[in-house]
Amino acid sequence: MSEKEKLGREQISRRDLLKMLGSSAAGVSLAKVAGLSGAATALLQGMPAGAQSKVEIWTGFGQGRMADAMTSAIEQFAAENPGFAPEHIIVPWGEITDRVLAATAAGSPPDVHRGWSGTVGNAAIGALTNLQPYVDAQNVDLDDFWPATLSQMKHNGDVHAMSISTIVQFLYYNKDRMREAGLDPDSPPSTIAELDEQGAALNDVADDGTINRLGFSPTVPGLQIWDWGAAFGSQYWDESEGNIAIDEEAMIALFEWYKSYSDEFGAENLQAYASTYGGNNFGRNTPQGIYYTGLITFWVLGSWSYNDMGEYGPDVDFDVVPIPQLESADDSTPGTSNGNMYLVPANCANPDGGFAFANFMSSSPFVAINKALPDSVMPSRRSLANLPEVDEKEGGWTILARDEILPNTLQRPSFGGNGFFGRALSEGAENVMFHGADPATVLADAVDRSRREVERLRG
Amino acid sequence: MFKLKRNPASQPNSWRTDNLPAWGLFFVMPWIIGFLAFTVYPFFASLYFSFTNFNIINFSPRWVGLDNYVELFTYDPLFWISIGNSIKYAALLLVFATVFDIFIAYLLSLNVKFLSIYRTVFFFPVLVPVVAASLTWIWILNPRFGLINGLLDLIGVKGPNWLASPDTAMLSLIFIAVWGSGRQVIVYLSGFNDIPRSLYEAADIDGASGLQKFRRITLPLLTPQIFFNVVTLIIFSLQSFSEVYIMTGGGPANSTLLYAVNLYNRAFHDFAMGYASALAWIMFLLILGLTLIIFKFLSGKVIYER
Amino acid sequence: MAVLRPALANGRTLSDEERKYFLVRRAKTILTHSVLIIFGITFMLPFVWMVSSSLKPNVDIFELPVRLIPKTYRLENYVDATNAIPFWQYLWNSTYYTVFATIGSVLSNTFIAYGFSRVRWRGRNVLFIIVIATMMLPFQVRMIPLYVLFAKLGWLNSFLPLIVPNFFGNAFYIFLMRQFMMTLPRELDDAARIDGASEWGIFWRIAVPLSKPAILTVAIFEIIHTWHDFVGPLVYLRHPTKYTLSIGLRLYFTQYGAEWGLLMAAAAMFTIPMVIFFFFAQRSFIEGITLTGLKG
Repeated sequence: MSEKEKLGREQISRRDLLKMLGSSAAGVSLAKVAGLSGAATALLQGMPAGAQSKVEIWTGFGQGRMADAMTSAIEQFAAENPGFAPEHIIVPWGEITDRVLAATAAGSPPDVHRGWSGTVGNAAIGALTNLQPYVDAQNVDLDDFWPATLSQMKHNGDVHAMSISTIVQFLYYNKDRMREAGLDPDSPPSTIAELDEQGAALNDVADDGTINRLGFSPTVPGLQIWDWGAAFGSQYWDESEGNIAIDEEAMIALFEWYKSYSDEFGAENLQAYASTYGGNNFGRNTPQGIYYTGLITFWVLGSWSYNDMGEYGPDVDFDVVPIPQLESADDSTPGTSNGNMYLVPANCANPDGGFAFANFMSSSPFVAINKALPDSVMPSRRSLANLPEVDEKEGGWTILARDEILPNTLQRPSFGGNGFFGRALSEGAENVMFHGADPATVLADAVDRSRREVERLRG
Repeated sequence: MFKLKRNPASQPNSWRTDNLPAWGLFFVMPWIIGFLAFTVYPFFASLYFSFTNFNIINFSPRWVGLDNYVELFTYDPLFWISIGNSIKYAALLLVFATVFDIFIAYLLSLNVKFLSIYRTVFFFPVLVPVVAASLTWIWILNPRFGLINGLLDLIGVKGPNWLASPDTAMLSLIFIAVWGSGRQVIVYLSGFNDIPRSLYEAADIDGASGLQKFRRITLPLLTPQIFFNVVTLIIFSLQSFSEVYIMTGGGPANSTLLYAVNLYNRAFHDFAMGYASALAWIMFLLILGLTLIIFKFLSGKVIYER
Repeated sequence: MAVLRPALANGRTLSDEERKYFLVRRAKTILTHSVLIIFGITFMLPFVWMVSSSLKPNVDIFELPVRLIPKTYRLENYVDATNAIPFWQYLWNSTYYTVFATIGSVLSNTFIAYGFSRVRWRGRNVLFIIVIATMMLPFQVRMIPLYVLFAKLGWLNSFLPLIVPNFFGNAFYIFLMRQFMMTLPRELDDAARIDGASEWGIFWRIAVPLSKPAILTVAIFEIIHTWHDFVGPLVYLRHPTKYTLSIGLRLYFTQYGAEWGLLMAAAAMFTIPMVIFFFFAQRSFIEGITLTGLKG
């Protein structure tokens, strides 16, 4: 047992470590216990009458100009509503929905949080406060909202979210790169066939398959299944049946289109090209991002990316057009629209404050001008979308989004289980691209599984 | 999971013949309370939940019988994919980590100079918090600007796409797990150091070759450490979650969707708590079964006496 | 350990055979060191790359050919990293969690292990086998019911779900401390009993002081474990003000992408306390691990 003898000698000589740890911990514990009990009493006593009521707001706007815009919007809310004391808490993007759900289950949700049309689906498991009574009591003019956005705000006919703005999708294109390749930058592709053709002229692939520059691939920056599916003429939800429904033919055609690109470049090379620039986010925040360095010529992203171009790639000569259509599809639409929502979780401490903030964000001209437009998204209320500031906005994207795209887009799914459905579709597409699976089979499987999920959520 | 051996120092004759459990129970009472609250209750609650469709928001489990299990075995493709991935991950990690760690520990046991520096270096990855390490690895394995492919680029070699490819993502994760297995090196090193030199000297006199010495002396006397490391490695690698969740989230094309990641997604992303409970129970049975098999086959071969 | 090294102090010249022996030995030594150095460098590279990236301005991060030594240094990354997220708050939370979890583990496991090793009572071994068996129950099985339990107790907005279970023992630590306590000489207990000491007195005045190496080992393990813990905080800490650094680091992934420079700076700051801790208690660290892997 020489090991242990050694051990004994060694550690007894280090008695001090334990002592230090013990004494410092004791100090910390006293301080914390005192603090905890203080907080608990405050909670038990509740709010004194007449004082401001706290409104806890969770968003993902942590850094940069969008965070500044959020801060100014919250200040404006506080100024206009002296009865409420807003508290802004920042949650990692991409986790906000999960975290709010978990906090709701835990009984400590925020009073209002930022979400998307897809988040409204959480109403299916009772995770959201029904805002219809508030809307009725305060005579909110619902008809002012874009119809697609309004229907996304609703679950089972009742409003469960207030939309600040609506995202539409653009095809972005780099004019310099088109010129270099001898293409006319003033006639960007308007059909899928033209897009394929013009994109192919702009690829630069090394002998070993590494993609140095990409003209176009529907898999970069992401699959954008909802949008391309809409462009190929599919629907996602049958309102009359209350269940998932796709246009099978359109979706099969889409998956085969994805496959044609992964066959050409190699699924892996496309994936590597995308992940090189920062995983799922493609290094958007650095001037090295693919959009700002001409490493891609045509890509589809939400309108929110428009102002990023000005910030991170000020020298890039680019423009936007609606997503190209599939000529052969009758129901082809220019992608989907996605409402940016403010939602009030179920069982939150201050639903009145939560709704007040959500309603403020969706109806304030200050917010429309100082928050929605700088984020390059269209106000969800038509009255706000027709403010003179919208027409005067540089670049003309506002008019394109408002007059050409928004009236024609398909709404992105917001039913309970839409997240699962989206994941199942993406997994299916990946299976087709990486493993050569049969599109019809994976689609049927994805729809089938997602329908079960919808059923499960209905309880 | 460990052999309960009666220590010579604790033979009955040196014990007070007090068979009243009062004091014993007094001391182990915290464990009993914790066991009931944090093990027994969750164990049975989990079993119950696994037969329900459980909406966590309003805490209303609805009995669905065997539906979750039926769905899982007959329908859910992710269940089988994730089981396959987890077994692949655990098996490959077991082989690579064991061979590599024994090899490094062997080199360190050769009475090398600067032992403490080397030991620190190989132990170092254990100190890096798993989140910090995982995020760093994402960056190191970046197909273009990452350290590894960047270095390969210098010598004109095109590196693989690592985490971005279904072919290499799993191997990358295993490679990273081997990097983080410094604890095992230390355990094996102690095993090597405990082997009496006299045995090797005696073998030298008998003219045994290096390989013979390794097979006849080193390996048998290292079995306690191997056994310990293999058991813990299997149990922990089947439960692996954090690294994979952070680095790949299960992708690309579900190639790294480990069982625990799938379970977490179902439980805390979709909030399908009943279904996830069924998944958890299958996982428990799987680990239990594997551990029993290992005990049956390995424990008899472990040589404890020196 | 005994090492074969012929004494040459008497100035005797080496025979051919001996010379050959030493040549082979030297070759082996060089080879051993080369292999160790190559692997050692590989093992340290991630950390070097972390520190290197943390010092680069964002422009240099996406640069080919890669540079281990930054072209220009940007120490402000460290300042910016602490400003971009509530870094100090998260550091404090990590420390708070670590300190209390460690206190809980040390107290409870010492106490429990004593009952399993130095007090003899009917049913002890059966119960101990159950202790060991709980190690096979995956966290995932307990995760959901415990989540429900803690939610009903209203604990999910606090560190209680993470800290409280530590006060009720942990199978691995109980096993480890029991092993150690079994080896302590019995005669001390017997002598104390003859002097009329109670069981509690023996525990407190004999077992605890003599078990300090094992106690320290448990403390060290628990400190590393809680500092690193990702799943626990991910599942139970729902309020952003309660995040530990494990969870908070993901805030650097903004809506726009990852701020690699800041992220790597924060990762380095997250790692460094463990490194300092390691150098402070290195010997105990290594010996603690040795102890766990020892003769079952």
